[in-house]
Amino acid sequence: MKKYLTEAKYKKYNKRRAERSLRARLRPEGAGRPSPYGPPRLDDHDRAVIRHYSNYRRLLAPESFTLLRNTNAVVAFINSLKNCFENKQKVFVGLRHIREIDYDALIVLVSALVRFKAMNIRFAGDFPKEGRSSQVLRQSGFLDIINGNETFADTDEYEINPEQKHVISTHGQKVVRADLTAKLIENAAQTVWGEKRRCQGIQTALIEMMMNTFAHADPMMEKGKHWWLSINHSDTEKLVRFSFVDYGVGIFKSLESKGPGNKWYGAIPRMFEKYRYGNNAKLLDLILQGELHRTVTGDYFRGQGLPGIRECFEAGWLKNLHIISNDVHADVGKEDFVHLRQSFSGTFYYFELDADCKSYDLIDEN
Amino acid sequence: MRIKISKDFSSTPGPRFIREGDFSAELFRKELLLPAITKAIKDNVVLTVDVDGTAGYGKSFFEESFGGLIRDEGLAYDGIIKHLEVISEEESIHKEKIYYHLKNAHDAGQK
Repeated sequence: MKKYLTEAKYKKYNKRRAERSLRARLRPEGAGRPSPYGPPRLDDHDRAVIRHYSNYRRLLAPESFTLLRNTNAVVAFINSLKNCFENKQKVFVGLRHIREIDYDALIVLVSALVRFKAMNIRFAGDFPKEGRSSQVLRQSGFLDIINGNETFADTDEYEINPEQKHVISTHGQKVVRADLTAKLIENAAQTVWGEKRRCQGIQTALIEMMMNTFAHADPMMEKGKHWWLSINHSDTEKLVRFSFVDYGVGIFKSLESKGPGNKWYGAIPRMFEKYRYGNNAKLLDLILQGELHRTVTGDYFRGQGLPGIRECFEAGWLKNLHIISNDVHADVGKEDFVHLRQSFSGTFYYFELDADCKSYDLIDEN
Repeated sequence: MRIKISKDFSSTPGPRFIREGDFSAELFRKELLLPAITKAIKDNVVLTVDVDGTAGYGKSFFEESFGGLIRDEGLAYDGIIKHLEVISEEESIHKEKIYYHLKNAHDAGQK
């Protein structure tokens, strides 16, 4: 007979091993110290979700669900969502545990939900039951869509909560819609100043963002990607928050993808030759200052696109401008350009309008 | 002769090209600006273009509409300058940029 079945020291070892195994099996699930090495223990709700949504990919949103303050974690979450979308994988989004959610992150959830629904990919989730996070999700229309039977076609235009001013409205489009943004800005002014006004610099910035998505988000074709604009009105703060996103290739990947014949072909090597910048964070700073435009065209005006958006910020039309694209997060006002560990495939802009921003009276030409 | 963009074209001027969206600079040039400036040159009168009163312009709007008169429509720089007046009281930079784009398109054509 084999030694490990007969010898005393092996018998003792096997007995203790069996007892330990039995104790573990009898221990109530979830009891005991959480392992410092493995994933957190599952509670009854989690186990029910796993059973019920067994063929869904389960994605947990970061506890601090704010793109501006917890960029790396939220970008990792967005990348996982995008991966599921591209693989047509059903997804269960865990939001029940989130401690805080900012308006800037909502656009990610709402746009993802609509895109999944439009492509007939199942999208489910759990949510915080109460508190500010629950309220914010409800205001965005996210809960109504995910719990309701509303269907979305695979189309160029989406409107979520379009008439619900003073809450959160989200708009998805593929072309430049200056008429739509002008109307949204007038409504924003109503919240800030109590009357409809023109904020020309915000209109300019949004036109630049929409044109960038149209022309550069998809390297294979124009009009290949949607842009999404989410607007939150805060009556108490007299403040309106704008979040704009596209899930294209992002600023740097787009520049790298330009082929011979394109104005921007070879622009990055030329910029590197000229400025010897360290990483994309510095490159974005240079682009916003108009150096890319100047290097390629020799034009002394800062030009269109990103430098134009910065110009609107510096002229006082908008506040608190942030740009996140690929591996860079720029807090433009603080001149803080951070290199990210997680690369975001797309471009995200955030800015605010308040009573200190520049504006003009609304003129009725009729 | 006078064109007030916000009244005669749109209070929400849009992108550079027609394919990018409504009320583009290309559309403005082809439908309003080109016929008006051509007539102004022919009749030897001044065309006044008032850019005030809109919701705001994309950064390429003036380049495409005014620079395009020389680059795409083949009009002569001197003829345009002689017969064009720009009113831009809200944002004086618009006027500066329009003349800059005209000069730029002219210079580029000379090379």
